[in-house]
Amino acid sequence: MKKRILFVDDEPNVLAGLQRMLRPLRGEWEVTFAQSGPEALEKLAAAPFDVVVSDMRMPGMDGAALLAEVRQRYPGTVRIVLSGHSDKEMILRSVGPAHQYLAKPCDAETLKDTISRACALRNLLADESLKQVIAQMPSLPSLPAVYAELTRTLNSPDASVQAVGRIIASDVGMTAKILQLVNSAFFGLRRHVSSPAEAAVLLGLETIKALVLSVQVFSEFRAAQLEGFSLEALWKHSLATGAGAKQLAADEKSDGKLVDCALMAGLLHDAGKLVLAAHLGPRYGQTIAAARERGLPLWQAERETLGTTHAEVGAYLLGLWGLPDPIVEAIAFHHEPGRCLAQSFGTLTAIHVADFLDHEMRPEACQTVPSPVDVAYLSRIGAADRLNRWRETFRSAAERRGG
Amino acid sequence: MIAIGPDSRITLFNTAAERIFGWRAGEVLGCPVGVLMPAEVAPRHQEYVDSFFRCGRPNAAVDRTVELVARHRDGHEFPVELSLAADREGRYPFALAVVRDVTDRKKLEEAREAALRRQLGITELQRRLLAPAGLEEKLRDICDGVVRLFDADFCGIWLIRPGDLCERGCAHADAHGGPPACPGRQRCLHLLASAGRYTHANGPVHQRIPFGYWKVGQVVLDPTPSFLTNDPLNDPAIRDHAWAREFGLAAFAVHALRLRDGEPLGVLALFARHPISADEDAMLSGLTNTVSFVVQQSAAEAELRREHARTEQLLAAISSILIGLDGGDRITEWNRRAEAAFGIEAANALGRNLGECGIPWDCDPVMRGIRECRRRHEPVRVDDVRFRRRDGSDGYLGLTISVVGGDAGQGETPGLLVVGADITERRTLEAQLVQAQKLESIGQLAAGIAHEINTPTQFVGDNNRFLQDAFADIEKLLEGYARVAEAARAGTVPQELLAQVEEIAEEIDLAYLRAEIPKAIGQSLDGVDRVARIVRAMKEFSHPGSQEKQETDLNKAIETTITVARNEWKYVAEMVTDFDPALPPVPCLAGEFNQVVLNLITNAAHAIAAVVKDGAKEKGRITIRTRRDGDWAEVRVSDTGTGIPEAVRPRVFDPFFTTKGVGKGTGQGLAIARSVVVKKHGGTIDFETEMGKGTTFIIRLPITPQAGQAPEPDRDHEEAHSVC
Repeated sequence: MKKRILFVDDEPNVLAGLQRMLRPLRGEWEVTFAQSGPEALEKLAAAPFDVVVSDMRMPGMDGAALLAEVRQRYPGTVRIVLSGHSDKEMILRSVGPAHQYLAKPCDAETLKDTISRACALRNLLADESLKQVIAQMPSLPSLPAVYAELTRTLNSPDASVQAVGRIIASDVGMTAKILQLVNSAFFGLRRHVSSPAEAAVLLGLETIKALVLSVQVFSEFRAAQLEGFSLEALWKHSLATGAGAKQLAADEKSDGKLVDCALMAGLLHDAGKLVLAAHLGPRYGQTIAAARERGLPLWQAERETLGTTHAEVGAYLLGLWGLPDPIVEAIAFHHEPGRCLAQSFGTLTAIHVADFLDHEMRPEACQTVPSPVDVAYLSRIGAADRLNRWRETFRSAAERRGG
Repeated sequence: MIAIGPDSRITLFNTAAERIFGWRAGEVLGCPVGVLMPAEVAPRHQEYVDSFFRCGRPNAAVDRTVELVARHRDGHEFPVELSLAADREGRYPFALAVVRDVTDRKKLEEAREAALRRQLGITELQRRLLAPAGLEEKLRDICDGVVRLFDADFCGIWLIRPGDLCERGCAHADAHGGPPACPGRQRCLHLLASAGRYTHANGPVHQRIPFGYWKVGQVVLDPTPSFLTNDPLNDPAIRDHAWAREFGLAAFAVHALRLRDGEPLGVLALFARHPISADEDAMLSGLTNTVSFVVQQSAAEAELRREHARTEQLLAAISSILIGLDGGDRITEWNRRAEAAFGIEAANALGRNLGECGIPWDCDPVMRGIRECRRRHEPVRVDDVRFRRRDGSDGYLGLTISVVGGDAGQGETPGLLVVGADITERRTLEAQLVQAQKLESIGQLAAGIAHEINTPTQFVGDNNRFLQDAFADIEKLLEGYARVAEAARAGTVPQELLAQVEEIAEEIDLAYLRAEIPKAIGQSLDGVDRVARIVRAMKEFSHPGSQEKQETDLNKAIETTITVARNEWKYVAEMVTDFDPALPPVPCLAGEFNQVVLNLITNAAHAIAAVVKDGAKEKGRITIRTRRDGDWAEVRVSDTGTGIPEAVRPRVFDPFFTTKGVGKGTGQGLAIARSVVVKKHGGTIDFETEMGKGTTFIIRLPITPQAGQAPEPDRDHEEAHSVC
């Protein structure tokens, strides 16, 4: 069944160009064009679409407004921004109405790639077994409040470090946890940080956001107490993976966007475990026990017993919250990177490798058998020979942090 | 009358002689004349007489009148005048002397001489006093002089010293017991100088004499200017007779020193062991007047010196360059900043004509300014005078020239004061500010410009990708056609081949390609052109431009700015231009003009955006018109925005005034516009507005330089001043 894609741009030449460029794909994709927000909504009303790709700057209703409408009316539709602006809308990348953000000029390959992967991810998250498991949960938490406010503020014109500080400081527990983190050997800052605003200045807004979200997620599920499941150990592992993934991404000279995503994805990659532990309780406990007994990686035991994995569950939740696709995708596939269509080093690579390396370095911390690294995947993206170097980078960074 | 014989014995001695010499005739007749002379003279006299009578040697005294010293019977010597007649030849040779006692006369003469000498002494003293010297020194001089000239035993001068803080040790303070505050402060005479034998008598008691105490303290209060007593021991006016007796006073004179209006200044007092005559007292009065004058003058001088010092301090403290000029443009003031700035010492500048000092500056504007100032009698500002600093670097001065010395007489040219400061840094900062603002506005436009460049790049890339695929497809077809052609050459074209080729054509959707390829090419060319245009516009817009005005095609400049700003207005408004094709080139600073137009376009777009609001209404319209109006070029930027509310209108051009929210501009746009148009181009900027309809900003720039500037200074003031 062909994917139906709607392109929206006020510049007719752009639409004409896209149409011509995508013609070879006319077998897989059915492409439609609209020149304005209202026209796009009309077309959506007439027939469902799988993907909407919109420009940001348009007269009347701009891209953000359009995609917000689309999200509200057609939540299952993939929403992608294709914009001529560079930095200003970068902020909107995280928890805006768009799943993905692409910058013009965008070549055909990237466009095709992105749309394909977005669709694949949606497919994954629409998987029946996953849906069943989700359906068994009484309710999934909504996007944590502090994080939501943070993002909202940072998207607005009065974004500032002070505003960030204020928002975090309004939650005392959050502040304490953030400062504790920031001042720990983990970040290796040379001076003592005494306020969230200061932390934001030193670490950057993206890092602060990632920390805030992780702290909130973990505290949300602190009730998850299970035999063989240690919240503390998971937290430590998440921190290590986040930091390690960020380091790897930086070493690969990835752009800032990717580095930030790597940190966030790393911190939250096992959030699915929290969800499962909290909501499936004893059943998940059994799964864990089974994995241990049979010497299986946890995710495999999960698939067998539950029909889905913590990776997918986590990805589903974060997708629900509207985190950007690169993060959601990375989490979804972090144990099975081969299933992702990516062809090069990305966020997924970073956390897959970091996850593996952390377990390798501290096998005692993992309750179950750690999952091996996917060498085939590494070969596919042309990174097979870099694993050793990554290992060294990871270890030395970990030692610097105090292990 | 006395006669003597050849033996020098007295032969005649008349009654007068008896009286003068104290001898009776009977006692001296027949005695040698030597008894009438002082002992040491007699033998010599005897020789003269002998030689006269014996040898007839002429005697210098004969037939003459001489002054001699004679001896009285009681031994005292006295001066006499003697006329001698002698007869040697006669029967009875004799010498006859007519003797006169000139003691009184002598005394009178001596007194007169003494008085004359004294008067000369006083005159000399007075002359000396008028020469510049310290006051205390002069007062001492006077006391010394008085003691010397009047043979006084003591002379002292007391002055009133207002505000003088009396020491606690002041005798008068203690004398009254109670708190040490002296009741006599401000009414006290202080001894400033004294001379004479009794200066050791100066003690704490005499050092300060409050008004009313003793004669000295009383004379200041009395209306009579002086007091004199030659009998201090008995004089009732003297209270302390014991004191007078102790010092053996014979005379005591006190004179008051007064200002011209009678205000007391101080007292001059002296006492002597001999009486002081009325004449002497009169002389003292004269001297006292001189002293009064001297004291006053000294006070005035001191005040003047203080004032001068204060002024000097003020001038030195002023951190601007100060150059004072007199009516002939000669330098009267040259402060330290001027020295430092120009490397010319004050000694080399003062007194010289301004144009001849070799001041390393651009003279013409300065001289023009000076002429202007003299003509208008108002301060004139001359900015941006180029000059070379001490270290060789170039700089700019800002000068203010004003007229000083308001009481120049009729027809006299007034002096001038030139106050200057090195404004180089300010100018540099201004230039940097202009550039920074330009970059800031570019920065604000950057996102929009990025969009304007990225968008065409997108579809040019897409189109080319398409053309690539399309060509590959057409290649297949061409191959097919080639085979058909080959077959045709061979003889026939089999039907299958034709069918195959048709199939290929179908497959590649030839119709679509034929329709789309030209469009793709055309649109790509368009896109590339758009990118080139905006890059060029950006380059032209942001080029720093020169500091000098250049002939500029305003229409083209406006077009450039419209292109650069396109992303600001294209979503909310249509842009309509109505340019006057006959608009001549206008001398202006292109970069800054562009900046102004950009500000106006941006404002217009924002005003319209407030009305259009997310597509609720149709796009608005921005209209830019240019036309020539005589010597002026007029540019009108109109929008269909909200209009400017009444309350806001007066403040529209104020710096930092903005009605937009935080983060949307700093309110500098119109202030800068006004500064550029009015100050730098001599033009005008105005607006017409109507609420709910829109606003039009109107810029007028002079086409010819004269139209915009103030009239030139008068030609008739061009003298030789321009020789620099």
